[in-house]
Amino acid sequence: MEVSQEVKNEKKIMVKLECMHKAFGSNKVLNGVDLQIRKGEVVVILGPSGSGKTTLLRCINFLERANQGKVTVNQYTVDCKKASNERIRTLRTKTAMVFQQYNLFRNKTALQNVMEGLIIVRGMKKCDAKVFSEQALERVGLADKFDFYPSQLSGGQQQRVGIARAIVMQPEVILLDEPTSALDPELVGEVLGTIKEVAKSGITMIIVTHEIAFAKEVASRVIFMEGGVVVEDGTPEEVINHPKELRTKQFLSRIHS
Amino acid sequence: MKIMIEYFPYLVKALPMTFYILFTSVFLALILALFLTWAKVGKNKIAKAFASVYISFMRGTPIIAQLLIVFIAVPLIMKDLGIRTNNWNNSVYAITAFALNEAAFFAEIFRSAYIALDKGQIEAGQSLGMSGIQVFLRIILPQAGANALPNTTNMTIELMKNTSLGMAIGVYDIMGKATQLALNNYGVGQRELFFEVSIMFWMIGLGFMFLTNRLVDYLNRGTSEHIGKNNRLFKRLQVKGGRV
Amino acid sequence: MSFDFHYAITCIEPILKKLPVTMKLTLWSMAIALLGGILFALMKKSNNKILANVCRLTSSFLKGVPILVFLYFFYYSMDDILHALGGTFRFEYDLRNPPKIQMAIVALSISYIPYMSDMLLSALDTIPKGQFEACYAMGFTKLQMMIRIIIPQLIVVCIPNIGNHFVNLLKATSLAYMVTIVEMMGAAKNFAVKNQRFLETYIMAAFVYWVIFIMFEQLFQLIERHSGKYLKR
Repeated sequence: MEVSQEVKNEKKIMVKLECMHKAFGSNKVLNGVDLQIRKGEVVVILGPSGSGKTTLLRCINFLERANQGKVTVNQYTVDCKKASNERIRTLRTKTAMVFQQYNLFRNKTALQNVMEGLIIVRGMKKCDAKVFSEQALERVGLADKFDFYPSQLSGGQQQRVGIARAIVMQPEVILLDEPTSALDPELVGEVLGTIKEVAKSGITMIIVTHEIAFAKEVASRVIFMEGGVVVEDGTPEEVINHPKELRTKQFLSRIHS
Repeated sequence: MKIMIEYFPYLVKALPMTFYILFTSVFLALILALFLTWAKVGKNKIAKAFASVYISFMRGTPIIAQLLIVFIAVPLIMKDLGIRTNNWNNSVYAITAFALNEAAFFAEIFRSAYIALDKGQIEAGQSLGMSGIQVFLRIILPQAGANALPNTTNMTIELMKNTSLGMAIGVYDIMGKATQLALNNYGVGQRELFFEVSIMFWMIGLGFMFLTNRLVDYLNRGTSEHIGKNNRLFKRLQVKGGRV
Repeated sequence: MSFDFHYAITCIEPILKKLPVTMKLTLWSMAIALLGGILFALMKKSNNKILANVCRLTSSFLKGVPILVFLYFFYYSMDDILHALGGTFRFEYDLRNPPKIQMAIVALSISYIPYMSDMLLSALDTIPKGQFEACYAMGFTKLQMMIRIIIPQLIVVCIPNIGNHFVNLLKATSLAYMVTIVEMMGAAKNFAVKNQRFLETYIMAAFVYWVIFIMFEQLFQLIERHSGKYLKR
């Protein structure tokens, strides 16, 4: 009985990071990170700049390549040292990323941006892709902006297209790299609202952000990183309101003025 | 290979002609370009229109056509003026045609350098009571000149290649000499001959590029982008107090 | 000095008759130069240091040699090249009708290959890194990324430069007449010789080139304005 319970729990681990090490030249950015994230968790990673949180996120989909370690997404494991391009590409089809700079395809409309992944990576027919993409854009509140080019949209709108582009792929996990850091303050709210709504659907999300209040609202789990290691890991209530480690307390006190 | 060594002295003898045409035409072109730029940025609408049409024509027609036209038209014009041109070396026509052509390209370079100037400096000079000529010589020329110099030297290197067209009107520069040799030795070593010519042009071009780069570095020695640059030439300049 | 206007008008027709030849030379050379430029750009950017340096050297050489020299070189090498090709590819050609135009196209295109590769590489630098990252993150293959996202954006950036090189190439084709190809300039020369009137003929030839030049300039400006629309607010 216990074994099958363990097996059931194992199966629910969506993302597993083992022994992640990354150095840029002589600068050690990740100093041995081990992490397990279960299906449906919304994990927020906090930390000062240089803590390695963005690097860790980018190592998951191999936009940065860790020097050492293993990345597992839904039981598909890729060894950072020995990975082949094909394996990396397969891993990437299981993840989706929302970028700080949105990175929408400049030469395509909002709708085409969202359709692109479905057509190219999933091999979907254009008409089917269109239906799903329109639904995704409606979900993020951009039903009237299908044929607008990114240059015609505000930052907040562009980021919401980016989120639509990610969710339409139905990935195993969505990675969000400081999704609101490049936005004007008045546009941050609409994007955070969209992310909250997506989180409700039960999809696994890993978010790197500065927005502590947002973390408290949306996250089911908060991780504090500093100096390339995980310092504290727990529920928002635990980590933000009652931090145990000194470094966590120092960081939070600096942010909370 | 042997053929190339044989031809070499003949080709080298023609080098002075190439340089003569190049430098003379560039010199004349620079002067003409100053006038053209002045016309184009000035307020005189007629001068501006004339300059624009001139530049468009020079840039929009093949050099070979311009060369042939000058070759034929100049003697005719001279004849009307009563000057005999039978003894003139054909290089004169080449220089004229190239200078007229190059002036248009230089004018464009000067114009963009002028537009990039900080107008405030000119106003400062004027408010100090400097005359127009003083403003030009002490403020406009040094700064716009520094901006235009890299492009101008690049253009000059391009123009060196155009001197090869002189052969069409019988000018004995490297190319002219080469075609003469080719015709004289029908069937023998033409391929090697022109390969050698191409190597010569390439080497000259590289030499020019090297020299002009050093010149540009020397003139830019005070600017912030060069301070601290790990450049052997630059270090020597610094040590010797700016004199090369 | 007189200028016979009546005669000058008659020059236009024989010159324009050879416009197709000029266009053939221009378009083919442009196309091959672009392909070569792409190849060189890929080689220059590759991780193989030897390949990259060989390319840099070759580019320097191709840029440093006048087009006329290349035209003459290939014209005089025609014999040997064709013999070599004939041997390996069983290529047959008519001795009385040698492929002069093809040789000229080769000469013209290799002159422009280095400029094309420079243009492509600097255009590549203008594309934000994020475009690439978005593609990688979604699991695009390199080929898919290039074809659907990167190349369309590159084309827009390159259009002004391509237009510039195109009209320069157009003017350069006038040199082909010196290796006995009858394009517009050659037609002008033949007509001038036939009628023993040189000045008017050459001036009209220059005029024809000028008009075509301006037309293409306008065309490229139009394309530029139309294609960059997704970049405008």
